[in-house]
Amino acid sequence: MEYDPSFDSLVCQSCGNIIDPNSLPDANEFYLNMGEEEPVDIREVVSEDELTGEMYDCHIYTCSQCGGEVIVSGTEVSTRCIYCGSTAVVFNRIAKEHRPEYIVPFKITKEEALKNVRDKLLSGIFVPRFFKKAEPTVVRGIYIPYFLYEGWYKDTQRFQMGETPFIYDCECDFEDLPVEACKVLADKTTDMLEPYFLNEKVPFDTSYLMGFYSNIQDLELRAAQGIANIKARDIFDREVWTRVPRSYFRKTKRVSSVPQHEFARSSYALLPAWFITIDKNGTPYTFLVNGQTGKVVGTVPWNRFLVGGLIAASFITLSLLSVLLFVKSGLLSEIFAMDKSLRSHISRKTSDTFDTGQLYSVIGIGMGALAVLGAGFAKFKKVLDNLNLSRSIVTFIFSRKRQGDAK
Amino acid sequence: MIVILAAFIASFVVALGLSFLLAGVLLERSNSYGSKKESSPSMKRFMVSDVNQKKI
Repeated sequence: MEYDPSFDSLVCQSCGNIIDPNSLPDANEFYLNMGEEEPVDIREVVSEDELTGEMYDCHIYTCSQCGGEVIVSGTEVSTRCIYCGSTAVVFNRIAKEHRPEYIVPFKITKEEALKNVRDKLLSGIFVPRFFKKAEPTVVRGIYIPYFLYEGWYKDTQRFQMGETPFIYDCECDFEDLPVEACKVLADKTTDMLEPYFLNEKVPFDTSYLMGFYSNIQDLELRAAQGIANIKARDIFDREVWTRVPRSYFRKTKRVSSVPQHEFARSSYALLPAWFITIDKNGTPYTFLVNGQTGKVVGTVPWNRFLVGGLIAASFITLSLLSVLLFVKSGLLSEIFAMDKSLRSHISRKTSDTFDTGQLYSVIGIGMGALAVLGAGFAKFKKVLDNLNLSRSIVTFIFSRKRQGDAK
Repeated sequence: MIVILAAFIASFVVALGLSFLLAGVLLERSNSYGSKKESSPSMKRFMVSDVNQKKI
Protein backbone atom coordinates (compact mmCIF):
# COMPACT_ATOMS: atom_id res chain seq x y z
CA MET A 1 0.00 0.00 0.00
CA GLU A 2 1.20 3.49 -0.78
CA TYR A 3 -0.29 6.86 0.06
CA ASP A 4 -1.47 8.48 -3.18
CA PRO A 5 -1.90 12.28 -2.96
CA SER A 6 -4.27 12.38 -5.94
CA PHE A 7 -6.75 10.12 -4.10
CA ASP A 8 -5.81 11.31 -0.61
CA SER A 9 -5.94 7.61 0.23
CA LEU A 10 -3.87 4.48 0.44
CA VAL A 11 -3.75 2.59 -2.83
CA CYS A 12 -2.79 -1.06 -3.13
CA GLN A 13 -0.14 -1.49 -5.82
CA SER A 14 -1.33 -5.03 -6.65
CA CYS A 15 -5.13 -4.87 -6.75
CA GLY A 16 -5.72 -1.11 -6.99
CA ASN A 17 -7.91 -1.08 -3.88
CA ILE A 18 -8.31 2.37 -2.34
CA ILE A 19 -8.53 2.74 1.41
CA ASP A 20 -9.11 5.83 3.52
CA PRO A 21 -6.17 6.03 5.95
CA ASN A 22 -8.47 7.31 8.69
CA SER A 23 -10.50 4.12 8.55
CA LEU A 24 -7.48 2.01 9.47
CA PRO A 25 -6.62 1.16 13.06
CA ASP A 26 -3.57 2.96 14.42
CA ALA A 27 -0.77 1.16 12.59
CA ASN A 28 1.72 2.11 15.22
CA GLU A 29 -0.27 0.40 17.93
CA PHE A 30 -0.84 -2.58 15.65
CA TYR A 31 2.81 -3.21 14.99
CA LEU A 32 3.84 -2.57 18.52
CA ASN A 33 1.39 -5.14 19.80
CA MET A 34 1.54 -7.75 17.03
CA GLY A 35 4.15 -9.90 18.71
CA GLU A 36 4.02 -11.53 22.07
CA GLU A 37 7.13 -9.74 23.11
CA GLU A 38 7.08 -6.08 23.78
CA PRO A 39 9.50 -4.01 21.68
CA VAL A 40 12.83 -3.70 23.37
CA ASP A 41 14.08 -0.27 24.22
CA ILE A 42 17.36 0.36 22.39
CA ARG A 43 18.88 1.55 25.66
CA GLU A 44 18.46 -1.94 27.11
CA VAL A 45 20.56 -3.45 24.33
CA VAL A 46 23.11 -0.73 23.68
CA SER A 47 24.99 1.20 26.31
CA GLU A 48 24.62 4.97 26.62
CA ASP A 49 28.16 5.41 25.29
CA GLU A 50 27.39 3.40 22.21
CA LEU A 51 24.17 5.30 21.70
CA THR A 52 26.05 8.53 21.25
CA GLY A 53 28.55 6.98 18.85
CA GLU A 54 28.40 5.67 15.31
CA MET A 55 26.24 2.66 16.14
CA TYR A 56 23.26 4.88 16.83
CA ASP A 57 23.21 5.92 13.22
CA CYS A 58 22.90 2.42 11.79
CA HIS A 59 20.35 0.01 13.19
CA ILE A 60 18.96 -3.07 11.57
CA TYR A 61 15.24 -3.64 11.50
CA THR A 62 13.21 -6.48 10.15
CA CYS A 63 10.87 -5.91 7.24
CA SER A 64 7.34 -6.64 8.36
CA GLN A 65 6.47 -8.27 5.02
CA CYS A 66 9.43 -10.39 3.90
CA GLY A 67 11.40 -10.62 7.10
CA GLY A 68 14.47 -9.14 5.48
CA GLU A 69 16.72 -6.88 7.44
CA VAL A 70 16.53 -3.22 6.58
CA ILE A 71 19.30 -0.83 7.41
CA VAL A 72 17.95 2.48 8.59
CA SER A 73 20.13 5.53 8.88
CA GLY A 74 20.27 7.29 12.20
CA THR A 75 17.67 9.93 11.54
CA GLU A 76 15.39 8.02 9.24
CA VAL A 77 11.97 6.84 10.33
CA SER A 78 10.49 5.25 7.25
CA THR A 79 11.98 3.53 4.25
CA ARG A 80 11.46 0.87 1.62
CA CYS A 81 12.71 -2.62 2.20
CA ILE A 82 15.79 -3.11 0.07
CA TYR A 83 14.82 -6.73 -0.65
CA CYS A 84 11.11 -6.80 -1.44
CA GLY A 85 10.57 -3.07 -2.00
CA SER A 86 7.65 -2.96 0.38
CA THR A 87 7.00 0.25 2.26
CA ALA A 88 8.13 -1.07 5.61
CA VAL A 89 7.52 1.61 8.18
CA VAL A 90 9.74 1.23 11.21
CA PHE A 91 7.17 1.82 13.91
CA ASN A 92 9.46 0.96 16.79
CA ARG A 93 11.74 3.77 15.83
CA ILE A 94 8.92 6.28 15.72
CA ALA A 95 7.81 5.19 19.15
CA LYS A 96 11.25 5.71 20.57
CA GLU A 97 11.75 9.10 19.03
CA HIS A 98 9.53 12.13 19.13
CA ARG A 99 6.37 11.25 17.31
CA PRO A 100 5.13 14.14 15.15
CA GLU A 101 1.83 15.63 16.21
CA TYR A 102 0.88 16.72 12.70
CA ILE A 103 1.58 15.98 9.10
CA VAL A 104 0.76 17.82 5.88
CA PRO A 105 0.05 15.05 3.38
CA PHE A 106 1.41 15.21 -0.16
CA LYS A 107 -1.04 17.00 -2.45
CA ILE A 108 1.31 17.05 -5.44
CA THR A 109 1.91 13.73 -7.12
CA LYS A 110 5.28 12.62 -8.44
CA GLU A 111 4.10 13.25 -12.02
CA GLU A 112 2.94 16.78 -11.16
CA ALA A 113 6.24 17.54 -9.43
CA LEU A 114 8.20 16.29 -12.44
CA LYS A 115 6.00 18.33 -14.76
CA ASN A 116 6.54 21.48 -12.70
CA VAL A 117 10.32 21.05 -12.87
CA ARG A 118 10.23 20.20 -16.58
CA ASP A 119 8.05 23.26 -17.34
CA LYS A 120 10.53 25.50 -15.55
CA LEU A 121 13.49 24.01 -17.41
CA LEU A 122 11.78 24.26 -20.79
CA SER A 123 10.86 27.91 -20.27
CA GLY A 124 14.39 29.02 -19.33
CA ILE A 125 16.15 30.76 -22.22
CA PHE A 126 19.63 30.16 -20.77
CA VAL A 127 18.98 26.55 -19.71
CA PRO A 128 21.32 24.20 -21.62
CA ARG A 129 19.67 21.71 -23.97
CA PHE A 130 20.91 18.82 -21.81
CA PHE A 131 18.68 19.84 -18.90
CA LYS A 132 15.67 20.38 -21.14
CA LYS A 133 15.87 16.78 -22.28
CA ALA A 134 17.37 15.10 -19.21
CA GLU A 135 15.51 12.43 -17.30
CA PRO A 136 15.81 12.62 -13.50
CA THR A 137 18.02 9.96 -11.96
CA VAL A 138 16.45 10.13 -8.49
CA VAL A 139 12.95 11.18 -7.47
CA ARG A 140 12.09 11.02 -3.79
CA GLY A 141 9.04 12.10 -1.86
CA ILE A 142 10.39 13.06 1.55
CA TYR A 143 8.67 14.37 4.65
CA ILE A 144 10.85 17.04 6.23
CA PRO A 145 10.59 17.53 9.99
CA TYR A 146 9.57 20.96 11.23
CA PHE A 147 9.00 22.49 14.63
CA LEU A 148 6.00 24.80 14.68
CA TYR A 149 6.16 27.89 16.85
CA GLU A 150 3.54 30.23 18.23
CA GLY A 151 4.14 33.66 19.65
CA TRP A 152 4.13 37.39 19.12
CA TYR A 153 6.58 39.98 17.84
CA LYS A 154 6.47 43.72 18.32
CA ASP A 155 8.87 46.45 17.42
CA THR A 156 9.13 50.21 17.29
CA GLN A 157 11.13 51.07 14.21
CA ARG A 158 12.40 54.56 13.51
CA PHE A 159 13.12 55.48 9.93
CA GLN A 160 14.93 58.44 8.51
CA MET A 161 13.80 59.84 5.20
CA GLY A 162 16.31 62.52 4.38
CA GLU A 163 15.96 64.91 7.31
CA THR A 164 12.52 63.67 8.29
CA PRO A 165 12.15 60.95 10.92
CA PHE A 166 9.09 58.78 11.16
CA ILE A 167 8.12 55.91 13.37
CA TYR A 168 6.29 52.66 12.85
CA ASP A 169 5.01 50.92 15.93
CA CYS A 170 3.96 47.44 14.86
CA GLU A 171 3.03 44.14 16.35
CA CYS A 172 1.82 40.83 15.08
CA ASP A 173 1.07 37.28 16.14
CA PHE A 174 2.56 34.15 14.69
CA GLU A 175 0.80 30.85 14.43
CA ASP A 176 2.45 27.67 13.20
CA LEU A 177 5.72 29.37 12.26
CA PRO A 178 7.67 26.48 10.69
CA VAL A 179 11.32 25.91 11.61
CA GLU A 180 13.04 23.12 9.72
CA ALA A 181 14.42 20.66 12.26
CA CYS A 182 16.81 18.62 10.17
CA LYS A 183 20.49 19.55 10.31
CA VAL A 184 21.42 17.81 7.05
CA LEU A 185 19.45 20.14 4.80
CA ALA A 186 20.54 23.71 4.17
CA ASP A 187 18.14 26.14 5.86
CA LYS A 188 18.29 28.42 2.85
CA THR A 189 16.98 25.66 0.59
CA THR A 190 14.05 24.79 2.82
CA ASP A 191 13.28 28.47 3.45
CA MET A 192 12.76 28.89 -0.27
CA LEU A 193 10.35 25.93 -0.29
CA GLU A 194 7.93 27.85 1.86
CA PRO A 195 5.18 28.86 2.24
CA TYR A 196 3.43 25.80 3.60
CA PHE A 197 -0.21 26.30 4.51
CA LEU A 198 -0.35 24.74 7.93
CA ASN A 199 -4.12 25.09 8.21
CA GLU A 200 -4.19 21.94 6.07
CA LYS A 201 -2.19 19.92 8.57
CA VAL A 202 -3.80 16.76 9.93
CA PRO A 203 -3.03 14.69 13.02
CA PHE A 204 -0.03 12.46 12.36
CA ASP A 205 -0.80 9.00 11.10
CA THR A 206 1.83 6.55 9.95
CA SER A 207 -0.34 5.65 6.95
CA TYR A 208 0.68 8.92 5.31
CA LEU A 209 4.33 7.84 5.37
CA MET A 210 3.72 4.80 3.18
CA GLY A 211 5.44 5.18 -0.16
CA PHE A 212 7.43 8.16 1.06
CA TYR A 213 10.50 8.78 3.13
CA SER A 214 10.91 10.85 6.19
CA ASN A 215 13.40 12.06 8.68
CA ILE A 216 13.04 12.73 12.35
CA GLN A 217 14.24 15.95 13.87
CA ASP A 218 17.85 16.20 14.94
CA LEU A 219 18.06 19.93 15.60
CA GLU A 220 18.52 21.04 19.21
CA LEU A 221 15.57 22.94 20.66
CA ARG A 222 17.74 25.90 21.62
CA ALA A 223 18.98 26.26 18.04
CA ALA A 224 15.44 25.93 16.71
CA GLN A 225 14.25 28.64 19.09
CA GLY A 226 16.96 30.97 17.77
CA ILE A 227 16.01 30.24 14.18
CA ALA A 228 12.33 30.91 15.00
CA ASN A 229 13.26 34.33 16.40
CA ILE A 230 15.35 35.25 13.36
CA LYS A 231 12.71 33.99 10.96
CA ALA A 232 9.95 35.94 12.70
CA ARG A 233 12.11 39.07 12.59
CA ASP A 234 12.74 38.68 8.84
CA ILE A 235 9.03 38.19 8.09
CA PHE A 236 8.11 41.09 10.37
CA ASP A 237 10.69 43.44 8.84
CA ARG A 238 9.59 42.55 5.32
CA GLU A 239 6.03 43.40 6.29
CA VAL A 240 7.06 46.74 7.81
CA TRP A 241 8.97 47.63 4.63
CA THR A 242 5.84 47.03 2.58
CA ARG A 243 4.23 49.84 4.60
CA VAL A 244 6.90 52.30 3.49
CA PRO A 245 5.69 54.12 0.38
CA ARG A 246 7.54 52.91 -2.72
CA SER A 247 8.73 56.37 -3.72
CA TYR A 248 10.63 56.69 -0.45
CA PHE A 249 12.36 53.30 -0.63
CA ARG A 250 15.74 54.52 -1.80
CA LYS A 251 15.84 57.53 0.46
CA THR A 252 14.68 55.73 3.57
CA LYS A 253 16.99 54.23 6.15
CA ARG A 254 16.03 52.39 9.32
CA VAL A 255 17.92 54.03 12.16
CA SER A 256 16.64 52.21 15.22
CA SER A 257 14.67 49.18 16.21
CA VAL A 258 13.46 47.94 19.59
CA PRO A 259 12.20 44.41 19.02
CA GLN A 260 10.37 42.37 21.63
CA HIS A 261 9.17 38.85 21.07
CA GLU A 262 8.09 35.68 22.71
CA PHE A 263 7.88 32.30 21.02
CA ALA A 264 7.11 28.83 22.22
CA ARG A 265 7.19 25.56 20.37
CA SER A 266 3.64 24.42 19.79
CA SER A 267 4.10 21.18 17.89
CA TYR A 268 6.25 18.98 15.71
CA ALA A 269 5.11 18.26 12.17
CA LEU A 270 6.23 16.61 8.95
CA LEU A 271 5.91 18.67 5.76
CA PRO A 272 6.12 17.20 2.25
CA ALA A 273 8.72 17.85 -0.46
CA TRP A 274 9.80 16.13 -3.64
CA PHE A 275 13.54 15.81 -4.26
CA ILE A 276 14.28 15.50 -7.97
CA THR A 277 17.88 14.93 -8.99
CA ILE A 278 19.31 15.30 -12.48
CA ASP A 279 22.83 13.99 -12.95
CA LYS A 280 25.18 15.73 -15.34
CA ASN A 281 28.67 14.32 -15.80
CA GLY A 282 28.61 12.90 -12.30
CA THR A 283 27.41 16.13 -10.68
CA PRO A 284 23.95 15.91 -9.16
CA TYR A 285 21.59 18.89 -9.44
CA THR A 286 18.72 18.54 -6.99
CA PHE A 287 15.44 20.40 -7.35
CA LEU A 288 12.97 20.56 -4.52
CA VAL A 289 9.26 20.78 -5.10
CA ASN A 290 6.90 21.78 -2.31
CA GLY A 291 4.68 18.72 -1.92
CA GLN A 292 1.70 20.88 -0.99
CA THR A 293 1.86 23.84 -3.39
CA GLY A 294 4.10 22.55 -6.19
CA LYS A 295 6.58 25.43 -5.87
CA VAL A 296 9.90 24.55 -7.49
CA VAL A 297 13.21 25.45 -5.85
CA GLY A 298 16.56 25.02 -7.58
CA THR A 299 19.05 26.47 -10.03
CA VAL A 300 20.46 24.97 -13.21
CA PRO A 301 23.76 25.85 -14.87
CA TRP A 302 23.50 28.14 -17.84
CA ASN A 303 24.55 28.03 -21.44
CA ARG A 304 27.95 29.73 -21.20
CA PHE A 305 28.02 30.87 -24.81
CA LEU A 306 24.64 32.56 -24.51
CA VAL A 307 25.41 34.24 -21.20
CA GLY A 308 28.92 35.25 -22.28
CA GLY A 309 27.47 36.61 -25.52
CA LEU A 310 24.83 38.56 -23.62
CA ILE A 311 27.42 40.14 -21.30
CA ALA A 312 29.74 40.99 -24.21
CA ALA A 313 26.90 42.37 -26.36
CA SER A 314 25.45 44.52 -23.59
CA PHE A 315 28.92 45.76 -22.58
CA ILE A 316 29.74 46.77 -26.16
CA THR A 317 26.34 48.40 -26.63
CA LEU A 318 26.52 50.38 -23.39
CA SER A 319 30.14 51.39 -24.07
CA LEU A 320 29.21 52.61 -27.55
CA LEU A 321 26.29 54.55 -26.10
CA SER A 322 28.59 56.15 -23.58
CA VAL A 323 31.15 57.06 -26.28
CA LEU A 324 28.33 58.46 -28.39
CA LEU A 325 27.18 60.56 -25.46
CA PHE A 326 30.68 61.93 -24.99
CA VAL A 327 31.03 62.62 -28.72
CA LYS A 328 27.68 64.40 -28.91
CA SER A 329 28.44 66.58 -25.93
CA GLY A 330 31.88 67.43 -27.34
CA LEU A 331 33.65 66.12 -24.26
CA LEU A 332 35.46 63.36 -26.13
CA SER A 333 37.01 65.78 -28.59
CA GLU A 334 38.21 67.83 -25.64
CA ILE A 335 39.96 64.79 -24.23
CA PHE A 336 41.59 63.93 -27.55
CA ALA A 337 42.43 67.55 -28.28
CA MET A 338 44.73 67.65 -25.35
CA ASP A 339 48.26 67.83 -26.68
CA LYS A 340 51.27 66.40 -25.00
CA SER A 341 52.13 69.60 -23.19
CA LEU A 342 48.64 69.86 -21.78
CA ARG A 343 48.74 66.28 -20.67
CA SER A 344 52.07 66.85 -19.03
CA HIS A 345 50.65 69.99 -17.43
CA ILE A 346 47.72 68.05 -16.08
CA SER A 347 50.08 65.39 -14.92
CA ARG A 348 52.20 67.97 -13.10
CA LYS A 349 49.11 69.60 -11.68
CA THR A 350 47.87 66.22 -10.44
CA SER A 351 51.08 65.48 -8.66
CA ASP A 352 51.89 69.00 -7.51
CA THR A 353 48.83 71.16 -7.04
CA PHE A 354 45.88 68.88 -7.59
CA ASP A 355 42.61 70.70 -6.99
CA THR A 356 40.72 69.22 -4.01
CA GLY A 357 37.37 69.62 -5.72
CA GLN A 358 38.61 67.70 -8.75
CA LEU A 359 40.04 65.00 -6.49
CA TYR A 360 36.68 64.55 -4.75
CA SER A 361 34.91 64.44 -8.10
CA VAL A 362 37.27 61.78 -9.43
CA ILE A 363 36.91 59.73 -6.23
CA GLY A 364 33.12 60.12 -6.36
CA ILE A 365 32.92 59.05 -9.99
CA GLY A 366 35.26 56.13 -9.32
CA MET A 367 33.29 54.96 -6.30
CA GLY A 368 29.99 55.28 -8.13
CA ALA A 369 31.31 53.24 -11.02
CA LEU A 370 32.71 50.59 -8.68
CA ALA A 371 29.38 50.46 -6.81
CA VAL A 372 27.55 49.66 -10.06
CA LEU A 373 30.19 47.06 -10.91
CA GLY A 374 29.86 45.57 -7.41
CA ALA A 375 26.06 45.43 -7.72
CA GLY A 376 26.44 43.61 -11.03
CA PHE A 377 28.87 41.07 -9.61
CA ALA A 378 26.72 40.62 -6.48
CA LYS A 379 23.67 39.79 -8.57
CA PHE A 380 25.67 37.29 -10.56
CA LYS A 381 27.13 35.79 -7.39
CA LYS A 382 23.65 35.33 -5.94
CA VAL A 383 22.70 33.15 -8.89
CA LEU A 384 25.98 31.24 -8.50
CA ASP A 385 25.27 30.65 -4.80
CA ASN A 386 21.83 29.31 -5.65
CA LEU A 387 23.43 27.02 -8.21
CA ASN A 388 25.81 25.71 -5.56
CA LEU A 389 22.82 24.99 -3.32
CA SER A 390 21.23 22.95 -6.10
CA ARG A 391 24.35 20.90 -6.62
CA SER A 392 24.94 20.60 -2.89
CA ILE A 393 26.15 17.08 -2.36
CA VAL A 394 24.45 17.12 1.06
CA THR A 395 21.02 17.69 -0.49
CA PHE A 396 21.74 14.91 -2.95
CA ILE A 397 22.83 12.51 -0.26
CA PHE A 398 19.75 13.41 1.77
CA SER A 399 17.53 12.04 -0.98
CA ARG A 400 19.90 9.37 -2.32
CA LYS A 401 20.58 7.80 1.06
CA ARG A 402 17.04 6.54 1.27
CA GLN A 403 16.97 2.99 0.03
CA GLY A 404 14.61 1.62 -2.58
CA ASP A 405 14.03 2.04 -6.24
CA ALA A 406 15.68 4.88 -8.05
CA LYS A 407 12.56 6.49 -9.46
CA MET B 1 39.71 67.93 -17.74
CA ILE B 2 40.85 65.15 -15.41
CA VAL B 3 37.27 64.81 -14.18
CA ILE B 4 36.02 64.30 -17.76
CA LEU B 5 38.70 61.70 -18.33
CA ALA B 6 37.71 59.93 -15.09
CA ALA B 7 34.04 60.01 -16.08
CA PHE B 8 34.93 58.59 -19.50
CA ILE B 9 36.84 55.68 -17.97
CA ALA B 10 34.15 55.21 -15.32
CA SER B 11 31.48 54.91 -17.99
CA PHE B 12 33.13 51.68 -19.20
CA VAL B 13 33.25 50.30 -15.67
CA VAL B 14 29.55 51.18 -15.27
CA ALA B 15 28.82 49.51 -18.62
CA LEU B 16 30.53 46.34 -17.39
CA GLY B 17 28.64 46.46 -14.09
CA LEU B 18 25.31 46.98 -15.84
CA SER B 19 26.07 44.10 -18.21
CA PHE B 20 26.64 41.72 -15.29
CA LEU B 21 23.56 43.10 -13.54
CA LEU B 22 21.43 42.50 -16.60
CA ALA B 23 22.84 39.00 -17.07
CA GLY B 24 22.26 38.27 -13.37
CA VAL B 25 18.65 39.44 -13.48
CA LEU B 26 17.90 37.46 -16.64
CA LEU B 27 19.69 34.39 -15.31
CA GLU B 28 17.75 34.55 -12.07
CA ARG B 29 14.49 34.62 -14.01
CA SER B 30 15.55 31.92 -16.42
CA ASN B 31 17.62 29.44 -14.41
CA SER B 32 16.92 30.05 -10.74
CA TYR B 33 13.60 29.01 -9.27
CA GLY B 34 11.96 29.73 -5.94
CA SER B 35 14.42 32.32 -4.67
CA LYS B 36 11.72 34.95 -4.30
CA LYS B 37 10.52 35.17 -0.71
CA GLU B 38 6.77 34.97 -0.39
CA SER B 39 4.63 36.30 2.39
CA SER B 40 4.26 33.92 5.28
CA PRO B 41 0.81 32.60 6.14
CA SER B 42 2.09 32.09 9.70
CA MET B 43 1.88 35.78 10.40
CA LYS B 44 -1.50 36.83 11.75
CA ARG B 45 -3.00 40.13 12.78
CA PHE B 46 -0.28 42.60 11.75
CA MET B 47 -1.06 45.91 13.41
CA VAL B 48 0.53 49.30 12.88
CA SER B 49 -0.02 52.14 15.31
CA ASP B 50 1.43 55.57 16.11
CA VAL B 51 2.61 56.05 12.58
CA ASN B 52 3.79 59.56 11.95
CA GLN B 53 1.80 59.74 8.74
CA LYS B 54 1.99 63.51 8.42
CA LYS B 55 5.72 63.46 7.95
CA ILE B 56 5.68 60.87 5.17
